[in-house]
Amino acid sequence: MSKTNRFIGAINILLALALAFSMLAQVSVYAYSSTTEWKGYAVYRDGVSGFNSGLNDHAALMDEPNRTYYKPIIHAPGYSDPVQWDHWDDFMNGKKYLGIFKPKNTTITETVANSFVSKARELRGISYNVLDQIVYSAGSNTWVYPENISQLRCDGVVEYTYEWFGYRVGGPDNKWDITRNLIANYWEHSGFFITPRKQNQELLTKVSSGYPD
Amino acid sequence: MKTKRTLILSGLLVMAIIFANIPVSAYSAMYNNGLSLFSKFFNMTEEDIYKSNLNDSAESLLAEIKALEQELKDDNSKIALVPHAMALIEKKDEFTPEEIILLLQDDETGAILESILIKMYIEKKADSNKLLPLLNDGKLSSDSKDYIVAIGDFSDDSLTDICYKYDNSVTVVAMKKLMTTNVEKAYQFASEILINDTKNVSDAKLWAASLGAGEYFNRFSGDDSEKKIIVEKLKELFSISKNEVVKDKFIYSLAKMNDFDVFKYIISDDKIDTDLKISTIERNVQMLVEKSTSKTSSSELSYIIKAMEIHPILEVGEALQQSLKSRTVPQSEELMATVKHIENNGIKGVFKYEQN
Repeated sequence: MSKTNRFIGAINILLALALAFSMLAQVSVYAYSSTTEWKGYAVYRDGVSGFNSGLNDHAALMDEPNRTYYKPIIHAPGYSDPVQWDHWDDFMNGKKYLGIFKPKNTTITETVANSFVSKARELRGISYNVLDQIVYSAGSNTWVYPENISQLRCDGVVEYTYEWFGYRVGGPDNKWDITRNLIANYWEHSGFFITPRKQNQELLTKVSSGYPD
Repeated sequence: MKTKRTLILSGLLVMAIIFANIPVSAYSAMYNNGLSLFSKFFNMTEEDIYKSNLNDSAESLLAEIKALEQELKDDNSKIALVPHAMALIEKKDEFTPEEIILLLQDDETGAILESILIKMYIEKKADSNKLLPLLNDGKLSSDSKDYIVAIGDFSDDSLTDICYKYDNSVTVVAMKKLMTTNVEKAYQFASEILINDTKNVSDAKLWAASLGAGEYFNRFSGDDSEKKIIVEKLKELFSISKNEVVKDKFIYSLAKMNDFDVFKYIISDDKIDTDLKISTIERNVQMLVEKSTSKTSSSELSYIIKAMEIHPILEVGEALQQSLKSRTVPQSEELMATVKHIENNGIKGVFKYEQN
């Protein structure tokens, strides 16, 4: 065997190792499983495309312990669909899964999970708005109740549910609470100040890259 | 010859590595959408896209949003266009109210552009009433119709008219506004619907009526006999409704009345599931604390115990503990066990329903 062939052979071994490693890395994202119950946790998938720089993501909350349950998530799917319980595949919509998330410094106990799930359920039937996380009319109320909300975006469902119970997701120090009926707080949750991508990359804690199994 | 084969193998391995690292969804996205128009925005942040769009003319940005929206077949991916939308909204002064209405009526205007145009129109402080005919427009999306009612500047009379005239989601959105601006008018609509025969009343109207009733009895004690009729009607509607979303709303409205008798019904009825019971406990947490600290009968206490077993709240536990110490509530092992359960599993109550 010539020196050149030995060199190319060595390169091939390295390439084969790289291939195996990269395949393993892909598989690990999908094959991870856990026995933990995921009720009340947020889940995300990517948005426009599968490219790493896909333009934005999509958010949902787990309303069941794992994704094998009937309609295990609640989300605002998009235009023409109000907030609803949905099938896992309809949430994924053939896109890339991003993982399981929770508010920072939070332990989601059974009672906390039940609170999240029952509050999110109160949002069912609310129609979609893409421009702001939330659209509401709360008059002179101090707080924005579910029955005051006219429209929600997918990240608004997650933000409203967590922040109702005092678990901060996004926004500056004294304007973070989306459930507070103040123009300043509304403004901080409008447009792209907070997005599903910012929620999963900066504002929440990633618990797992695995599926909620 | 051997060198050639090993080189081919190297090439194949390199290609395999590249393919292995591109997610499957990327292929489907490329195949299904192409997304060619979006390619220039990859690797740009929302802020970058927004700022770059601010430099475009209103006309070219409008054309770009139309083209991008057509490219995005998938409705729940349209969030990607928010930076474009925000930039166009800033250019609202370059459109007259009449031009905006014409654009809203245009068949080529998609859902996101509709939202942008409605927001522009309202931010221009143009006459909201001129948007009302669009509620009958078959072309406009139902989300856009809701948006018009939600952010438009309408009188209480206009909102009441919408409640009566329509049988879809705008009815509910109009009521959500009306009950905060004029609860008496909201109740007038609610009582008219709920006191009469509801057999042929739409789900949208029933949902709206329940909202008005819940809000009114949350703020006022109202007429006792009328309240009884409405409470019974909402219970009946819950038991017969086939609409799983609207069904829930009847319970939320009942729960909002902060009435202990209604609370007892919800907590003890087997047809009402745990989530709905939890929402009811949460909406009545102040009442539960007060009941737990005052002289409470064994019967009333049994409902509080039942509620705390479903969803333990620390403040209720503390109130019960205090009452046990001062012997203002009947002592029982069950009550002591409940207090322990709350200590171990309870969460802090959210008192937002009490702070208006």
